[in-house]
Order: sequence, then structure tokens, then C-alpha cells
Amino acid sequence: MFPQVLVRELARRLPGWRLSLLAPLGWERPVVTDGGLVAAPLGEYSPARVDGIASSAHLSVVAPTFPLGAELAHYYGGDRSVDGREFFSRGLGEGPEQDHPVLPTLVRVSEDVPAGLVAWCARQPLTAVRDRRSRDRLVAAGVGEEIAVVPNPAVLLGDLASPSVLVARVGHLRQLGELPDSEFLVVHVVSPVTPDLVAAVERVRDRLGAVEIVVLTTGVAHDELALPPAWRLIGTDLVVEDRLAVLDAARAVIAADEHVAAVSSALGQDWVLLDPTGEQRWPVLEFAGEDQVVTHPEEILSAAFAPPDAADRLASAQRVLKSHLDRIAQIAQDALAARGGDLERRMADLAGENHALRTAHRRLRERMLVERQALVDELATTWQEGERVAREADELREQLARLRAELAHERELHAALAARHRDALEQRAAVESELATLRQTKLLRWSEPLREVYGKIRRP
Amino acid sequence: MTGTPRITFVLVSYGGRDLVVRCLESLAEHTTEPYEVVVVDSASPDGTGEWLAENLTTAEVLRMSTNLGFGAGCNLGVQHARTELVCFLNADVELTAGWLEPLLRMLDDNPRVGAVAPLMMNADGSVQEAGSVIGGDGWCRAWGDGDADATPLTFPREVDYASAACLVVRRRAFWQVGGFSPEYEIAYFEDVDLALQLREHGWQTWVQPSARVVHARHGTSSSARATELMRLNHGVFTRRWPEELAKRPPVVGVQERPHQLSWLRDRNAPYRVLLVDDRVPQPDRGRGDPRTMAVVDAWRDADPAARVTFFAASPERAEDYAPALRARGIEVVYGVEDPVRWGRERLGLYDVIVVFRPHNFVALGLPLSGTQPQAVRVYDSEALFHRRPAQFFETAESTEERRRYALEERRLREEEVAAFTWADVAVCVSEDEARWVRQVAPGTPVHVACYPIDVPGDVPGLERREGLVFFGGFDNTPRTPNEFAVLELANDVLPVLRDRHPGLRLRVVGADPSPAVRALSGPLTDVLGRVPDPRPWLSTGRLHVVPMRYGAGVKIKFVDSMAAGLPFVTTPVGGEGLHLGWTARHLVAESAAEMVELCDRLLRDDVLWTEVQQALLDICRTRFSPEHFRDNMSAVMVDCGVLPPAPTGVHTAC
Repeated sequence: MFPQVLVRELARRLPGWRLSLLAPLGWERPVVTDGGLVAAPLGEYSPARVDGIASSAHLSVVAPTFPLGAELAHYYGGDRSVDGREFFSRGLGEGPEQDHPVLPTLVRVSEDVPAGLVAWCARQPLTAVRDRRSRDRLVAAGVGEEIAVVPNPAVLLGDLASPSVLVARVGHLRQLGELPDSEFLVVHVVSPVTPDLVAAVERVRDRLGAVEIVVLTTGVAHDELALPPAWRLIGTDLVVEDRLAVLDAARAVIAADEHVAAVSSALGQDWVLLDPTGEQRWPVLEFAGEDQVVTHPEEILSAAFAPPDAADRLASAQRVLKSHLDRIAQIAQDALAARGGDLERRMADLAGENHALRTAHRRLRERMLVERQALVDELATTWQEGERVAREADELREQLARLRAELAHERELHAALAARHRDALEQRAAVESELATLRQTKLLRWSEPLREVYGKIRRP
Repeated sequence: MTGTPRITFVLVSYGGRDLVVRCLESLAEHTTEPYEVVVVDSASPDGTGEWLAENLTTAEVLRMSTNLGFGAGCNLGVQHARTELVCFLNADVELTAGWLEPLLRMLDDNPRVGAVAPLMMNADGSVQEAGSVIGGDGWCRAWGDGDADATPLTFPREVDYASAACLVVRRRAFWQVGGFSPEYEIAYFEDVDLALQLREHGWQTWVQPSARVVHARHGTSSSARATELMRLNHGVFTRRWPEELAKRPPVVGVQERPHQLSWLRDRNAPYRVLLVDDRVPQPDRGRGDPRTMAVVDAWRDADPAARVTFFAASPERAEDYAPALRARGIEVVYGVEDPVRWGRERLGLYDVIVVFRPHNFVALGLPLSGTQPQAVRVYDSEALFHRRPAQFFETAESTEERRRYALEERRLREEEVAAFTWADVAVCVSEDEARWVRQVAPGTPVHVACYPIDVPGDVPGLERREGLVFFGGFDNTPRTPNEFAVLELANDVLPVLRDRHPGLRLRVVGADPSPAVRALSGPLTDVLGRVPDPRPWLSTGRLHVVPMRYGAGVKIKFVDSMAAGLPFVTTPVGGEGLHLGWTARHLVAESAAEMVELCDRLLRDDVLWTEVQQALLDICRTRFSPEHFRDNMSAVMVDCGVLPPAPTGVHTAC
């Protein structure tokens, strides 16, 4: 996690700079826990290699997790020898460092301070350790007192793994059965588990309620752990994201080293450091209080898992660390200038790029405005057209209503006319009927007998 | 196969042990890089897991107790990987020779690429997938699916996602995004999700078609089951990415709106530019193509993820020259019979459309830009074409010829005025031409971007130089400007010069010499035709002589000549735009007689020759350097609203 945080923070402070990672074995010894992070092998400490590193970069930052002066085989060993211990005890040497600062930063120092380390630190504009004990060791060895003490960089974890990624990782570990579905307490161990620890953890579990115990390990073999059967051991080869996810999802954490403590602190987790050796507390005290650090397992229950000033202490540690990283960035700029790098030219390049970006943005904005105006003009035309159509529609509707009224009136007239027509027809039919009746009626005129009589009289 | 492995192949099996074995054999046969293998058996019901665990000696076999599916299996596999890269590989994928190297090269050369996939082919040789697009409805569509000819797809590009049937991923990136999401059932959509996660974390997913594999779809699952899983996981996918999907058109029914497919294909590109010219650039054949190529390169280099499409009006030698462009990630289009229809299939796609030369503006630029009303229009003149018939007019001997040239000049002038007025941004090759453009199209911003050339560190001096060189392409056509020039050199300049310098050799270097040029070949004149690289000839000649009467713009041959440290003698037409300064009085002649005198002096006077050479090299370094050209092209891009390339960085080590 050291390199991820450092690279991210330095890249933010040195835009446009290329940052390369070097490690004692680098890509020659890929391991599961490196998470695919690629580092070049430091290789053998030779004049050619030293010159190669010094000439390929403007600044080196030496920030191993192991103490300076430590035997590398202890950390990388196994069955192979490890070159390059001198890189961590002598720097690159006086000649190459004349125009190439090699900053020991965020380091710890072993009890036996290597002789070359004192001279190396003396040549550097900035030396920073991550605990006071290391500073005291350097001072006692003869390094001047201008040594910064800076907290573990994990306190600036920030967005190294997003919450959604942590949730996904926990989901996957639960899917595989490596994490319990219920709440759990993380116990971090760096040595075999003792009965005292088991008893202390059980007491913590009792206080927390029904939680399971998940064991996270660093540097201790599975068969040496001596875990109680109910405790669940999570894979020993976890990548950073998985370790973060486990710590983030835990109900609380019992840490066994500064790194787990720093991560837990940065995640806002409840945690306590169990430090029986008395070595891990020193870097932890740079971002936490004494009340979160215990020496014996039986003290765990009474320790402050979540002291009220935890957030303030974390914020303060982050400020110190940020300020330190700012200084490294400044030294990098100075180193660039000292090696003939034209800072003004670089500033001019950046200003030029800034200008170009602004111009491109302006052009896009101009174009967007033109397009927007064209679109709005189209809209305006469409609206006008729409209003005209609406007006026409209203007129048509009015016309229609008028026509409908006229039609109704016409229909009424027509109905009246039809009624009259019907009446006339009826009258006519009646008359015709009467006429026909009359025609078909045999009339006997009352005078006819008289006429007949008369006729007979006249026709004798 | 020795050395530290940098890649781990992760296979997830659910039954089909024979497929797994065949896949591992194929892997061993076609993979030259050292590698490791992790096989995760997802609780196969047929004993596959047990068999693999007992019999596979070259792989780490992990067995899950329940069938958690592809994503969980891959996650478990990667948990056991220790290498820089992991490759998810379906057992039904058949690898081909040399398949892996292009993928590794892609990752090594592009630090922002987090995942890369090969071109996936069907067993019948047709395309199965050249990456895929994700629609707003959450459904996906394999690009090129079923295409019989993969050639048009053979350019590497960023994609929405690529199937994890064969996908190389940086392990760092994989963990950074949390791996495959555990929310999905058994199979399908988890790779789509992974690609979106990668993009959200700043990584890109690419397809590199130089690598090809054959994939038998659904090799280990029945289609009915696959359909059911797809339906289930589609629901998960749409639930997880509502905001992302809301920005996209749907793919179901997209055949009725084919232009939306192109939107989906190129939606991640930081910019999309369409460049239209005569033919696929043939940089070794002159005719303005070296500069066209340089302009295309500038657009390409500004951002590797940008979509750069080159539309060639003519298919001339396209099959020979297109592969090199495609290898650089340039989409090459030629042989299109109906450009408007082609444009409509990409309606509204491009941010910028660049048209070279006036005839292309008329025939293609106007109709194509009609289908791209949103695009910034750039007219890159390459040269002012109307000036050439005007020059011919001056020397024409018959009334008929003069009338023809006058009409042509007027037509070309009108076309060029229309093109520069049409353009939102104009590009010229010289300040002289830019001045004319500013007069005829005052509303159009004009840039000057000529031609980039590197001056080598060891330009030879006078030693080992001899004879004259003529350099220029002839297009195997009579009455070209270069043919006129070389004939004038041979007929009017060389005889007098040879009187003064007996045995003076002439080498004519240039592609496709016409019959009249080939006829010049003789004891002292070599007609070399096209050469793969003209620099050896330009670096061994004493003088480059081109009595050029016709032409416009900057003649690239003289820039090449300057970079090779070869002084030249030419006409005012030839010397235009070259910023010759004081050297012009030694290099530019009006008449053949004057040209003889200038040549004679440069052949005799070694001191003058050396001074002229140094001056020309200085001009080349300041006016025609790649940096100068890049700056000029950046200004063009910025004017188009496209972000310029970022400045190169400095270095620190941790």
C-alpha cells in the first residue's frame, strides 16, 4: 500500500512527471500480494546500476516498509539471496547524489544503524522517519536533528479503494465462504496465537455481542498459528484491496502492526493495537493516542477502540503527511532545475497547455452556443408555427361551431318545413280521400223523384 | 519458454474436461511467453474437477464446492495469480499462432489500457466479435458479428467491452475495480460490468485485431440455459448501471437506426475525426501524400483512443497501404459507391471533418458534411490548386489552351473560395497562401501547418557527395509539373552544365516515371523510379536541381532535400514557402541560363555550398521540425475544440 499511496500523492503534486517503482526483486519475484503492481528490480548495487538509476530520474524516494539497515533476506529471502541491501543503507553514494537527491522518507530505522546511513542522510535535503524511536536512533548515530517524523502514509488512504469496490470484495469473499455473512471481529496476528490472546478476544467478542472472529495474518505460517477452531482464518495471500475490504467490513479490529492500525484509522474503524514487542507503538503514536495501544492481551478490553479524539488525531496526522509530501514535490522541482531542467520552460509548457485547453474549451463553448442558438431558433420557429397552427385551429373550431349552429338552425327549419309538408300532405291525403269517398258515394238527389215525375209529365 | 512469467491464464470449468485439456494444449502450442495456469472448477457435476485436480500437472487446480459461476471462479483464480497480467480464457477458445504478443505489446505501449482482447472468430472464418457495444437497454451487440471479411475491422480501438472468453487484464487494474462483481448469476454480463468498472477507474478496454482466436460459442452450456442466465443477469446489469445506460441509445431494434450503432461504437472516443482525401496516403510516392500522412498522424497521435477515420475517394493501391494505417488504429474506408448513404449510416457521429483538395470538397466534403451537421469543418488546402492552371495559362501557346486553362483556373478558384468559406477552420501549407485565404474567406480562421521532418544528427558534408539529383513523383502521366521540370533540366540546363562539368551525373528519383522521363535514361542519367527511401540518394548527391515552373504550396521534395543537407536550385515557384532567406539568391533562378550559373557556382564553390547547407539545415530544424508541425497541428485541433496532446513528462523513482 505504501507505493500506491505515495505514487498517487506525488503524482497529484507533480503533474506530468513520470513515476517508476523499484524494489529489491521487483518483477523477478511476482507475488500474489503485490496485486499486480509492477516494480523494476533494483538489482545488484554496482556503480553502473547506481549511475543508471541516478541518470534515469531526477529524484529518488526511498520508502520501504522494512526498517533501513534490516537484512533483506528476512523479508524477501526464502531460498534465494537478495541483492541491493546497500540501496537501503548507503543511498546511491556521494557522486550520483550530487544532482539526484535520494530521500529516505517515511522510513523506520533498525536498532543497529548502518554506518553508511548517517552519511547518506547528511547528504539529503530531507530525511523523514515514521516514528520517534527511529529519529532518536539516527540522532544517536550522528545524524543532525533535522529529521522529520511523519505518520504512516496509509492514513492518506482516501480513495485508494472506492466503497463500491470494498463492498464487491466483501461480497466475493463471503461468496467463497472466506468471510462470515454475519458481523465479525478482525484479529490481526503476526505471531502464533497465545491462550492469553484467545481469552482476551473472547472477552471482546462477549462485549460486542454475537460476532465471529476472523484472523488476518502477516508473515506467519498457517500451521504455526494455533488458532481456536471457531476462529476463521482468511487467506494469507490477500491483495491490498481484500485486506482493506476485510478491515472495512469488520465490527472492530485488533491490530498487530502499524500498517493495519493506520488503515483501520483511515477507514474510521474501531481498533486497538496489541504491541507486545514495544516496536509497533512508535509509528502508531504519530496518528493515534496511547489509549489505543496495549502491550498485553488482557489490556485489550479496557483499551479505547474508538477514542473521542480519533478523528482529530487522524486529521492532524494527515496534515503533517500532506505537508511532507509537498516538500518532496518541491525538492523534485528543485532537482529538475539543478540538473538543467528549465523550470521556467516547464512552467511555460504547462501554461501553454493550460492556454490550449482554455482555447479548446472556449471553441467548444462557442460552438455549443452557436448550436444552442440554432436549436433555439428552430424551436422558436417551431413555436411560432405551432402558435399559428393553434390560432388557425381556434378559428376553424369557431367556424365549425358556427357552422354547427347554422346546421342546427337549418335542421330546425328543415324539420318545421318537413312538418308543414307532412301536414299539407296529410291534408291533401284527407281531401283526396274525401274526394274519392265522395266519388264513390251514390248520391240520390232529393229532387230526383220530382224530376222523374216531372219528366214523365213532360213526356207523355 | 524460460524466465519469470508475467501472465497467468485463468480457466473456469463446469464439465467439459476434454475442452479444458484441448485448450491447455492449444495454449502450450501457441504461446511462447512464459506463463502460469490456474484452472478453477465450478463444482462440475461430472467429475471434471476431480479429474483435473488429479491429472493436470501444468496448472494449479482449484475446486469450488458449489457452482458459483464464471465471475466467482475467475475471482478465485486471480486470487491465486501472482503475475502482472491475467488472461481469462474459455475452454472453448482455440488459440492461433502468435496470438499473445500483439496483446502484450498493446498493454506495454499503452499504460491507460487495462484490458485487451483479440479478434474473436467463428470456426467458419467469419467474425464473431471485434469488441462489443452496450446499448441503453442494457443489451449488447458484438461488433462485426457474422462479417465474412474481417479486414475493415482490423484496426485496434477502445471498445465498450470485450468478451472475457479471451481477455488479458492487468492484475493491478482487476483488483483496483474489485474484480468481477459477485452480484451476477453463474455467467453472462459480468465481463460487461467489469469493463464499465475499469472505465470508471480510468482504465480502457481495447481490441487488438492483430491477435485472433477462434471461439465456439456456448461450448460448455446449452443455449436455453444461456438464454435464461442472460435474462437474469441482464436484470442485475441494468440495475447496477442505470446512469450509464441512460446516456445510450438501445441496441434492440437498432437496425432501423444504424447510425446509432456508430454512436455506440465510438462513444468513448475523446474525439472523432473524419479525414477525406484522394486515396489512402502513399507516403513513398509523393503527390502531397507524405504531408497528408503527417496530418493524419497528428490527429492519430494526439490521443490513441480517438476515432480517426480516413475516407479515400479512390481505392488506388488501398490494399497495399491501408494495413499500415490500420495497424496504427486508423479506420480506413475506401471503395464506397454512395458516400451519402455511408454518411447517413454514421449520421451525427464525427466531431471534425477534414477535407483535403478542392475536388474532394466538391465531390465528397459537401455531401458527407451534410450527414455530419454537428462536425467542425476543416478545409486543408495542401496547395492552392487554382494557381497551377494560372501558371499553365501564362505559358500556353494556343488560344484554345489558354481558354481551357482560364476556365479551369476560374472553376478551381471558385471551388477553393467556396471550400474556405464553408470551413470553420482552414489550413494552408505556407503563409503566402494563408494570406490569400484570409482575403477570400475573412470569416474563417486560417492556420499554417506545412510538413514535419527530422534532421538526422549526422548529415554528411561534401565528402562522398557527387552529381545532380532530381527528386519528384511522376504519376506515370505526361505533362505533369515534375515531368516538365525534369525535361527542362535535361534539355536546357544539363547540356550547358555538362560543358562546364564533364561527366556530371544526374539521378532521377521518383515514383512512376512517365515514358518521356524514362526516355531520359542514358550513360550519365539514371532514372531510378520509386525508391523505398529517398534519403540515401539525397544524402549522396551534390546538388538537387528542379526547374519547376508549375506548382503551388510548399514542395515537400525541397524539405526532404534540406533535411538531407542537400542544397537545391529551383525556380521562384519551387522556392515558395521555404523561408530561404539569404540563401534564395544562391538557390532560386528565373531562367534556365540563370539556373546554370547558380548550379555551376554551387558545384565549384565548396565554401558557399557548405554555408548554404548549414543555413538550409537551420531552416529545416526551426521551420519544419516535428515539434513545429505538432504545435501547428495542435493549434488546429484546439480551434476545433479538440484537446491537444499532453506535454511529455519528467521522471522520478520511488
